[in-house]
Amino acid sequence: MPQSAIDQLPGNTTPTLRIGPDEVSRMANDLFNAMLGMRFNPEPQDSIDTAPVGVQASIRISGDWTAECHVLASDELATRIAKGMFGSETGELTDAEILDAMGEVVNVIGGNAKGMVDLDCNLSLPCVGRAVGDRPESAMSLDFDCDGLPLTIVMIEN
Amino acid sequence: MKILIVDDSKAMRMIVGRTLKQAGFAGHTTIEASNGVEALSLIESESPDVVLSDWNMPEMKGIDLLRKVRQSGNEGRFGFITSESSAETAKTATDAGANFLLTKPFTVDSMQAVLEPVLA
Repeated sequence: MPQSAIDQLPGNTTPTLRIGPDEVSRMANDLFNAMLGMRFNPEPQDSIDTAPVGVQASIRISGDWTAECHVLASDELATRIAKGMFGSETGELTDAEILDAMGEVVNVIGGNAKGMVDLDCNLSLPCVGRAVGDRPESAMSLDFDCDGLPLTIVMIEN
Repeated sequence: MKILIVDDSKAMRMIVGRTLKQAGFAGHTTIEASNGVEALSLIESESPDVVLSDWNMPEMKGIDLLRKVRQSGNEGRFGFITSESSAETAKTATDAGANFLLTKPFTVDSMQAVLEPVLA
């Protein structure tokens, strides 16, 4: 059997990702660097650790394209992101405000991803809480340096 | 001019308000609503000149808010600030009577470019 025929079998095909590392990097850079003015390195880092257990913000896209996006940050980084959003005029931030800010982060990245794919699909509301669970092997997981701390973005396309 | 900012995220309402000032629109009054239902009530009671609305919100989505506003005969300036920047979203917004659309994440420059003609 020719190799090309084997490659076409469903079990041997590699799905083409609609959103790759370059797109995720660009979306994250536009958000953290351009909009929030944070020090964000758009190059995914192999040398830094995955974001430690802290806050996880998740969103789901469903319809003609189905995907999930997760953003993970330590409590310290989540607080810095929230301060970047709420501004210096805000005093001590509450937990709800920090979760709100992280929800908006994943909402922007998920919405941008949905816009790039431009298929008929819906974006869920963000879900934010303590990071739990392992990531599926099929996930694209990228670790970035955000303000000197690790930020992890996970995209799962189904 | 009175500007109504509609977003379920308090963080985003803060950023929009702050960026409006940085973009040179500090002289305008801003009021806020955290969802479409609250916004409808404020549109009736406060008569804002411009509405800046998120798209993806609980209770009532931004597009449903716009449709209700237009159905009531209100032809005031209404635009979206949304991360959902697809061509389909833009067409849906325009068809429903939106006057402009600003994509998140935005910058001072991109907000200025979109809102200058609206707030002039």
